[in-house]
Amino acid sequence: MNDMNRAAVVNPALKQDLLTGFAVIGALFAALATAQIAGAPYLTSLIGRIAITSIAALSLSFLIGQAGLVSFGHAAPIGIGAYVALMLAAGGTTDLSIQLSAAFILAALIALITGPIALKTRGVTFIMLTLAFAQMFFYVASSLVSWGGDDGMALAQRSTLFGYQILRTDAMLAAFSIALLAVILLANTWMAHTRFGLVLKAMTENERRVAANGFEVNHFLLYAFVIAAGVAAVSGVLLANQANYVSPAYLNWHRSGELIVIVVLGGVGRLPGAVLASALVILFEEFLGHYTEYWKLGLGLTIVAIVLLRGRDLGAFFGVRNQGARP
Amino acid sequence: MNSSLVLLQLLNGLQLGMVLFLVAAGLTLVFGVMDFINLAHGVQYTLGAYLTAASTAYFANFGIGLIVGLASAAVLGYLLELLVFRVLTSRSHLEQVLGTFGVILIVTDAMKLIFGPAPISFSAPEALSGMVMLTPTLAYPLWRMLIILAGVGVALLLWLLVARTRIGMLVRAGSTDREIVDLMGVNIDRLFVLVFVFGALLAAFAGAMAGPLISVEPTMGDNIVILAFVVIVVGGIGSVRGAFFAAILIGVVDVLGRAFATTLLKSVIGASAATAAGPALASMLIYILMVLILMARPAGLFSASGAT
Amino acid sequence: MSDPVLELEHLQMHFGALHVTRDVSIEVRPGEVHALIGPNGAGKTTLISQISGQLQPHSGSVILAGENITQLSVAERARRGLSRVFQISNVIQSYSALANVVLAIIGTEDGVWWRWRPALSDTSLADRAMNALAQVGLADKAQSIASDLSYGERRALELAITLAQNPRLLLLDEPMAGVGREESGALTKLLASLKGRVSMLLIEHDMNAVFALADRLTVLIGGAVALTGPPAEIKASPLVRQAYLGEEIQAATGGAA
Repeated sequence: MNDMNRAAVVNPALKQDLLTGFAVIGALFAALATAQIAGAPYLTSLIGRIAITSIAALSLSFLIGQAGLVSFGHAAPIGIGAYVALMLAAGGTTDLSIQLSAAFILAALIALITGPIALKTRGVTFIMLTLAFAQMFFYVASSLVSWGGDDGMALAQRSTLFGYQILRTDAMLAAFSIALLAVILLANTWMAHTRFGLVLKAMTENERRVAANGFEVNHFLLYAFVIAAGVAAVSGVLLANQANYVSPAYLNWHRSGELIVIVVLGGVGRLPGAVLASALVILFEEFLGHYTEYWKLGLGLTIVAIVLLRGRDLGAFFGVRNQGARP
Repeated sequence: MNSSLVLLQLLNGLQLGMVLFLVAAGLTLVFGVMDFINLAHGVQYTLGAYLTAASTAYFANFGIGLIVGLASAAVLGYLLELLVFRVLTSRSHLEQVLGTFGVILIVTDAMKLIFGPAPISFSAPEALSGMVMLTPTLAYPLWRMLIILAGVGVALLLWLLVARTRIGMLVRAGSTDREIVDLMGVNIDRLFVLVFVFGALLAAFAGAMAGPLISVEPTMGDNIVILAFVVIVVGGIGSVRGAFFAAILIGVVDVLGRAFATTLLKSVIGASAATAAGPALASMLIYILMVLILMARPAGLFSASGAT
Repeated sequence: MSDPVLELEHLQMHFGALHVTRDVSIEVRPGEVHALIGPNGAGKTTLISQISGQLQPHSGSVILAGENITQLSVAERARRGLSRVFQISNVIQSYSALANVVLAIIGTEDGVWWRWRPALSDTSLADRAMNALAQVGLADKAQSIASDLSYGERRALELAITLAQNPRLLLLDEPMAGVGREESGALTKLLASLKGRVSMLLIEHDMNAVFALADRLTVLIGGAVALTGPPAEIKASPLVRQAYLGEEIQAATGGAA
């Protein structure tokens, strides 16, 4: 009987997600290898950008898909991560083990403060509160005169790991980012298997049931909020390395909006979607942008076409928590 | 800092508040009635400014320019509703955010394509660009005064429409209880078109009036729509009255903050630190205010849906 | 006699000028099935909501096994053994029956770090969940997705969910509502089989079920307690007949309620 039980509780979709996720990661590695062999440095840096954006998108995707929380301020933890890398590198601390943990912890701590305030509300009020906090950090970053103020500042040195310059070239940075994507995929799958994951997913569907079961709904949502912020900060550290530059523009609300666009475009909650949508937006910018400066017109038309033509299943599913504010 | 300077800045805050109110009124009604998040509402503001500027230049007459500009902005708003928003109203909030974000990209680039990326020139008509004497010694720009009066006028008009007419009653009912409106046999789609085009017109009017004061450029709607969302959330979603008072509050706090934060900070933390932190703090003020208000009243100052 | 499982002491609640709960004092004894009846709008569901914590009374107290829980949240009450079965079926539709029960069991676990232990591959969890499902006769439906279950089966699943939490008190809010005649008979039997093992506070319009199950009844009229007593006494009371039973019988024979 036990075998049957186990079969019943295991979610087959999880296994499939893991497989398709690794297929996509494999494809990214293959593309990177091809770019290297073909000697296309531009393509290499593009793949790096796609991988880093995918990490950021996945963290938001987790928040929207697993916790049903639409944050319009996800640029904030990303920017915080980037500034942590900038400041630590300037002080000579380039080791990724320190940079990544510092970025994760700082962003998580900040989310621990802003989260409970935003979580008093739902729907559009939650969206606006997360935006408000992100705007505050945007202006804080702009006022950091000794770190370049509005203009930002170049990264003193790319990050290292245990003394090795593992991000020295764009190819190495891309490879590291893709590997990190794989780690996040594994962690996410593991989380879905835990008690936490089971409760969190149930919560997006039926908050009342979960509360009646003895779970404090807002505690779980806060954990998700904090974890998502930490992972976003990790992508910020990589972003700083990729661009060799950090500026308040990373915290601009446009970035948060773009990230939501990527997440929704790719289909919330899945790695392949996040990678594909990141690739779509970045490639649009690069290739269409190469021919015309009005590439956003093309992106806008594509987005509207996709939204209008797509069926309603996604909407019905994710509309659950977004039915207006709660007092 | 003298009292007449404070008074002038208060008036500037009120003027910004009126512009915000004109944009936020349509946003809060559309959201309240249709539960539709329209990030692209700022597009109407941009269209209003551009089209009025262009037709004013064409007809060499501001009055005609304003009428033609607003009419064409309203028509474009109607077309957007017909082609895109009508489909989106039945979708999830997330898809609405995505779709309307797409519309922003399209319209912003279209403006850039037609009018060029640089700000275009747009000035108030000669006759209205003078000063009015508020007191024998205190002068205030006539144009800004007109904006304030127009805002108050529109607020009164809206109040009359919402409180006294059948459509207003439906809008009020729709924002609290959609089913009642359905039960009354009202075609809610048609009601939505009406509310939407009216809101678009108000936002376009705001753009046309604010145009001469700011630079008319393709991205001008972006920041105003964020501020308008701040206004409707602070005011209470769906509440026009809430939008009115929240817009004034946000406008005044923002203008006063920008005018005086650095000066006030200097006396507290010293000149050099204040020069760095002042502008940042000034920009942050409205967001801090919003967080504080929503912490105390999560449903906003004038919640349309009542106590529970 | 041992101490009551649940005591309500002078509960008062109003929405504006509308008094929905007027000085209600009720006690539920261990093992007892206590039914709460009353005409529509008598304030039964608001009273249950005050007991489970969705609503806060304006005054008075709710005491569970000697502990005052009036100020506690829904989740904190649930962890102390107060389980509510909802009027509207309330399960996680996309989860299997088994996963629904597993979710309920981990809700009773203490500590912080347990959250990071696996849930899906934990056989001891699954065994306990199967046990609860077997008690309500759903063992062979363990793998079915909740949305595929019949309405009556979903109500049974809800019972399994609450049983899995080893509740001190079951709050049953119209368990028969919307259940077909045949299934309601099965559900009544199921509840009867649990009698004595777990205390229940039952709200139900189906008078057959109420009188088949209840040890004692409390009649609520206009938000106040009109009468409390054993079934025979309630049936005999002219007040109750006039205010309530007639209407119910009419409703039962007339169809729509």
